[in-house]
Amino acid sequence: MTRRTFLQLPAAMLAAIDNTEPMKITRIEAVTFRKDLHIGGDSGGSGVTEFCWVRLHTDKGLIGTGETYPFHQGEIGALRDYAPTLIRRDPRDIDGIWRAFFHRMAMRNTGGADMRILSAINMAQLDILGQASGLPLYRLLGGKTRPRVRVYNTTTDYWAINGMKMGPDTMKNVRFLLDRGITAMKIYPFTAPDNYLSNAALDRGMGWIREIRDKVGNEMDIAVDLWGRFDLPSAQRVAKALEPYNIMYLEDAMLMSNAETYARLAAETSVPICMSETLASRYEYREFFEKRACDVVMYDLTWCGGVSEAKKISDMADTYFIPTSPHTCGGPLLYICSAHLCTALPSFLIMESNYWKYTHQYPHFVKNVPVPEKGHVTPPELPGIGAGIKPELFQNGDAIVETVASGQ
Amino acid sequence: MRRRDFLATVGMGLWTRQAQAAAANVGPMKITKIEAVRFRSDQRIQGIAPNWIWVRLHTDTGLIGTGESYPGYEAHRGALKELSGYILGKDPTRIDRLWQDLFYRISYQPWGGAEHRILTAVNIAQWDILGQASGLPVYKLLGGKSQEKLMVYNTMNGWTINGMREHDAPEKITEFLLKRGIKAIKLYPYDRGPVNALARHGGTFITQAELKQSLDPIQRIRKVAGDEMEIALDLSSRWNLPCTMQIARSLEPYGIMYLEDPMLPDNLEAYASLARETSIPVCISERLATRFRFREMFEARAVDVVMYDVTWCGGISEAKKISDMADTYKIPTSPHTGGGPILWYASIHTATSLNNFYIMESVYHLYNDVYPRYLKNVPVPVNGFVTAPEAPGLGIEIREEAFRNGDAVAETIAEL
Repeated sequence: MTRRTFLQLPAAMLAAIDNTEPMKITRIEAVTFRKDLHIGGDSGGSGVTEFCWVRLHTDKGLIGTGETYPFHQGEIGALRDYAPTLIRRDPRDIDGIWRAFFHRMAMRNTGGADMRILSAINMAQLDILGQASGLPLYRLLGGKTRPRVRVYNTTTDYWAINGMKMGPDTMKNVRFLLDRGITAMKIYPFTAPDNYLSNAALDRGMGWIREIRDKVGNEMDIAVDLWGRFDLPSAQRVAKALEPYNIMYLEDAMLMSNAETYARLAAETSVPICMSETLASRYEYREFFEKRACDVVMYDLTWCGGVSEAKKISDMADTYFIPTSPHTCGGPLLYICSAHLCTALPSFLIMESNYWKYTHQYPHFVKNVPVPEKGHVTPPELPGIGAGIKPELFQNGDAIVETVASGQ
Repeated sequence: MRRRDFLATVGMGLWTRQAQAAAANVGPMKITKIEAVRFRSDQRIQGIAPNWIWVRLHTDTGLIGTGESYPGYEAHRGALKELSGYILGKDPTRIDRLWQDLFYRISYQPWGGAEHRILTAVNIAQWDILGQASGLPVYKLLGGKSQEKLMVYNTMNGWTINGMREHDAPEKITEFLLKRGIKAIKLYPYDRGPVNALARHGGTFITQAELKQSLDPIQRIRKVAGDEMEIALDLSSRWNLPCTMQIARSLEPYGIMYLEDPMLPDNLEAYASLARETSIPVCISERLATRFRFREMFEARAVDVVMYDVTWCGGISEAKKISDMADTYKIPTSPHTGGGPILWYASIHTATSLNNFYIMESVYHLYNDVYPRYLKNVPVPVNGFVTAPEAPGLGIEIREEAFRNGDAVAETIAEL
């Protein structure tokens, strides 16, 4: 294969393996961050570092970094359990390692901390593959399907923009985003103490949406997230109330425990139904696609099984003309890898972003944060993830490194 | 409950007064300390290390409940630490409330794995506490004795009976079990032994020769025992659909009790095709957890016998809910018990209370060689049947010397 055809091929991932030397994993490290590390920036609530990293060292000197969150102790514990099986494996055996790990885990139901640490390992493997081949991650995933990636802003009181609250400051938030060319947002207007949403609470939440439509018309696209907390009747009533307002999507109305119930909701409403970063692996998503339960697919690639699994889920979704809108409200590597992946995906809708995170949190840890310009981001043009992890983290005590396994 | 009825249910005189006093005292209580118990991983019992973790919930009443999950320690310990904030200070007798709160919490991410297994262990410890507080064995809290005694089969897998392996000595093993009244066995001819077609093709293919050779232990058992021995087969979820179909077809003439876990249980239509195709009852799967996932399998007519692991599926509460739902489809329950000792006790209590009980897994090596190192009153099958302990709660009697000699080490995870 000539170098030119290699760069053009969507199957570049396979080609890169053929063109580089064999290598093996010699050390696995868990990286957590000091508990009292608090990022300012008037987030409104958050400031903690909820993510952890996995570093795979190789005998070729390359280091791949992966990420997951939010329960470090479970994730790092799972890493300690599984790490010995990874030592001396070739990190570029992306699918082979994934499959062996998954089958071991599937002996006692997949998911949770085990699935999240597999996701982090997978990201670190692809980081190595990218560095070894000299290609940015998006090139290994099929190359540039679109020049830039449209983002929306997840707007919550917990990750607020300069302390502004939804409700009292709804329009300040909207104008702040529109001024920056960000023309879509996700909001959480509906809350209830239990699984049932009262009419009064429904109407209060609808007030936010009416206000946005009254003041800026359709200039702002709106997604609504319900956190998976409601029962079917409440979900049906929310969907019905949203009908006249051109909603981008309704996300996680109920727990993902019953695809048929979701199919019923999706059949009843014209509001696109989006789900869900709480699912993992193509096996779980397949069912929701087949049951016609899902209009927009969301995953978190640090939870769903990793970058390679996310790609598989999106490729399967594409056969149903279901576009992808990834969840990114975690750490910086999730955000950057999602930008790589969204650059390459065949069917993409919009990517999540959060102003507080890319303005205040991520820059504390990495140099190359894609900051939205005119409402769009682009991934770094550097080999692998290309995050530019700040070396000072490992000198100033912010990062705590534990060697979990090693061997030549 | 009237005093007379209460005494009648409690039965065992030893517990009567104590139980009566306790029942009056089941009121609000609080979880004050959470411990994880680690078992020495360098210890080998016939070559195999204990691989389970205990979760102990201490309460302000002085009662201590014990739960369990497996395999491994670190991920569970970490998950327990992360979830301890949601457990500490809670009333352990509010069993379904805590289950729901923990499940919703872990469902913000893809749920399952270590956190779900910790939720499971906590649930078992809660039932242990409720039983002790009320003076009743757990099976009585679950509906009482639907089964007087539980028929067991013996699982071979990688375990041996006094060194005998399923593919080397099927005749001797059969004789050994029949002598003890155990008239059912589970075999692994497709991923163990001399043929081991799984190792040859990774579950992607099986040749006609391998199909025939894999029948060897089954044919040998039928030869020495005729139909006296029920035979179940476990395929360890490693096969694809065409291999599964071929294996099932080759087993048709042998009167198989059930065919367990040929494929991963993540495509119910694949299982529904298998179940339609074969007359052998299809059993799945301890790899599934929660009523939500089993519901789909039932609705799709993908399963004939339900298997769960009480220390994986969401605990005793969830196991009972799954079985009760299965009963509405006339599907019986055959619990997975090839783990730690508390799994064995908890499964016996749960199964005793079930109307739709089928047959219970048991492993000679575990109840004979392993569990007695940690517990004093291990239920052992008698004439092929096992019965539930009558002591309050799970009724475990822990050998305290295990904690003194370092076989078991308790670690405080969180404390009020």
